[in-house]
Amino acid sequence: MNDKTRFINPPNMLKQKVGARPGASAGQIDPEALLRAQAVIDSKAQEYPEWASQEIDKLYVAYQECVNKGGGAANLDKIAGLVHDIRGEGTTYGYPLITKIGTSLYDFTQAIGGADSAQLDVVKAHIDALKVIVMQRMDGDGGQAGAELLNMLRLAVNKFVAAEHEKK
Amino acid sequence: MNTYRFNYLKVLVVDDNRNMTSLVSELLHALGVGDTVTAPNGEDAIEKMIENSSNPFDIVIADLNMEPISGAELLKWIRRDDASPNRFVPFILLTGHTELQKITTMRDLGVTEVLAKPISVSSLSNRLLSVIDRPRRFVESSDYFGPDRRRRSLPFPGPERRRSAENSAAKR
Repeated sequence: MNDKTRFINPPNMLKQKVGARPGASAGQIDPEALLRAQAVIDSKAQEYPEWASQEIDKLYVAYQECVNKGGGAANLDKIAGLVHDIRGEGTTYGYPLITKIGTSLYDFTQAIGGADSAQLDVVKAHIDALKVIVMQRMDGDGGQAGAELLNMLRLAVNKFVAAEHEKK
Repeated sequence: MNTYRFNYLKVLVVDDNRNMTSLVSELLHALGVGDTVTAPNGEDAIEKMIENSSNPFDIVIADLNMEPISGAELLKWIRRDDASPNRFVPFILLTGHTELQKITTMRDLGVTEVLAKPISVSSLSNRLLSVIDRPRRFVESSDYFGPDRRRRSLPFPGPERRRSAENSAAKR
């Protein structure tokens, strides 16, 4: 840190705005408000499988484009962008398996430069798994079926990622 | 314990995923936030911040990957641009990209808090309380402007070379 570095303590206007008592170190959010917020999520969770299913259909379209164009990296990027949004929502609405499998697919697209036909099969297996989860409403950890699905995908991904590392 | 009222707060939520802006703004509304504005990207967010400069936002919650202006570029603009209405505004990064390198980059641009996707009522509430109850002093140097990146007060074995406004005044 050089001599021109300096500290600034801006006034905490937020504390004043939320009605904090002078000198109080910490406050809380109204428990009723927290319940109202949770009710927002619970309500959206009812519609979630339907709208997630539509997002997963977009993944199928992106996957098909990727297949048609020979598995190029740019097309994988499209899949990565779509699944990044999907994984960012699943757990919020009670579907952590969507987040886990979405993350597995996202990481897979980042680990491989482009996809050959066998790698595209792994991509498709992830998309199929996501679809099954929303169609069968496999919320929570999905039980035994969920664990098997995750394990199967993990084995497939590990095989290709290890091969990718060997190439480098 | 003091129960906060958020009805005077004004929050800007920026994300290119409409489901996410909708969710976050509805949650903020349920928590009592009086005014929530959404933007689909950093460019639109900058326009909205300038439009609202006479009554600026109290908190910005923004995604990272957006076109044409990303969350990183938005944060840089907020902290460093002369046109920024409030260079000190708490900036909560809303992201699924929690890789260390990306978080470090955002920290070095002056991020206040990170809210990882998928979000929950608890994670969102905790970040709001954090920016209200535990604001960090700002550091200004030739290559950084933002909240102090040292969150913990650990003893430093060398001489203190960083100057505070108070220390500078005392030395004069």
